[in-house]
Amino acid sequence: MMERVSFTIDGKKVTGYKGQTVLQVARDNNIYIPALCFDDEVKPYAACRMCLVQVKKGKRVKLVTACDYPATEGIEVTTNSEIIEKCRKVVLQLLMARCPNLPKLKEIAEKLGVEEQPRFVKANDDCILCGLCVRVCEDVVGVYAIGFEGRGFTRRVCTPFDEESPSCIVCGACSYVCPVDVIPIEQKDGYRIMERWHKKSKLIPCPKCGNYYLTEDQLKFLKEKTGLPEEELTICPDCR
Amino acid sequence: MIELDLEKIKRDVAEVFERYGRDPARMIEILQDLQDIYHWLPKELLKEVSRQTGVPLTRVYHMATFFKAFSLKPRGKYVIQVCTGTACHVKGAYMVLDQLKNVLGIDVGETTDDLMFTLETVNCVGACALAPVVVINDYYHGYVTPGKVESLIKEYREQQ
Repeated sequence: MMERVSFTIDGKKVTGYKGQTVLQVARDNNIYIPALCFDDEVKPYAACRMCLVQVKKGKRVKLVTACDYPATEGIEVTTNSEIIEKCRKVVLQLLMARCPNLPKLKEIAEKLGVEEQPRFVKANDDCILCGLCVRVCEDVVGVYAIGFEGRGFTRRVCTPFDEESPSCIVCGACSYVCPVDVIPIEQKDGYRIMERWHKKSKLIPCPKCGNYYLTEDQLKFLKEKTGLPEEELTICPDCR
Repeated sequence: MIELDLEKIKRDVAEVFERYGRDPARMIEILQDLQDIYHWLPKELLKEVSRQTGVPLTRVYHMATFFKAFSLKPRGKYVIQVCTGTACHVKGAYMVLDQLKNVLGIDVGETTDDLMFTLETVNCVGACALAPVVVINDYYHGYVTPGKVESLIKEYREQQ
């Protein structure tokens, strides 16, 4: 049995398990905290700073990121106050200045009632550098196909040397988790193509229904990982 | 095009990796030592480092691009830094720089094809009394005039 912890979020009493984060408990209790760089499957990274909340522990109140703050017995969490709103607004405005044309960001901005700050010089980027794709590629898929390059102003996500990655299996996990949907994935003429990573791989049809389900590189990777015969792996989940 | 000896790269990486007890956690030291040998980090070398240490290439690449001390572009055996700070500027640093560009046939930030010289500018080296100053691999040359440039370069060429 896992140890339970109880605390309050916005005055409401909630309980979670030890090892969960404040954000996870809030989501389990249908309390909305905006967050971009968080996914249950990977370790919290606290990169996007959207999930800022105030935590009162004993006498001290501090601003923390809910996605990596451990659920602790007796803390008082506030998800909405003047100072949080102010911080969140600037964070979102900075993100919008970095990536001016992201529908997903505009959606959140509308929800939170934040407008673009004209004073912030607009850059022409589309990646918010949350690192979710990189972390999923490393920790969930385990192929290390993409990573960061450089630092500070010139930091970006790419394959090594920005060339076709030999280790990418074109699984599309990065595209799936991207919170702002900027990793396009396309299936055309029997190939699955990921333009951003300069990689394409031939699709293999399911022997039962004929639907495309995995790529050649994926199959090779799965065969090495699981040691299962090819025939078993190529059957799509619907036909299994 | 710079020719790289892949066999030599393999040997050098193995030797440096051995030096650090085959510990991939000492990647920065490994890359530093390799840069001391090659003066820069060629693509093939980083791939070889990844292969031998077992550290994913994305990680090696991130480290190599993160730190300013590492260069992924060719750098020469001798790095020539022309001071263009206020004092040197007034004393004609740009004339010296132009002469260096002529003699070496490269622009600022570039490296000669024989991988001997890299030309850079710096904003002040704190030796204004010697203006104009040219620093070559940490050796300070003071009172440089455009006329002295050619013999200076010749000196370094013959040194090796």
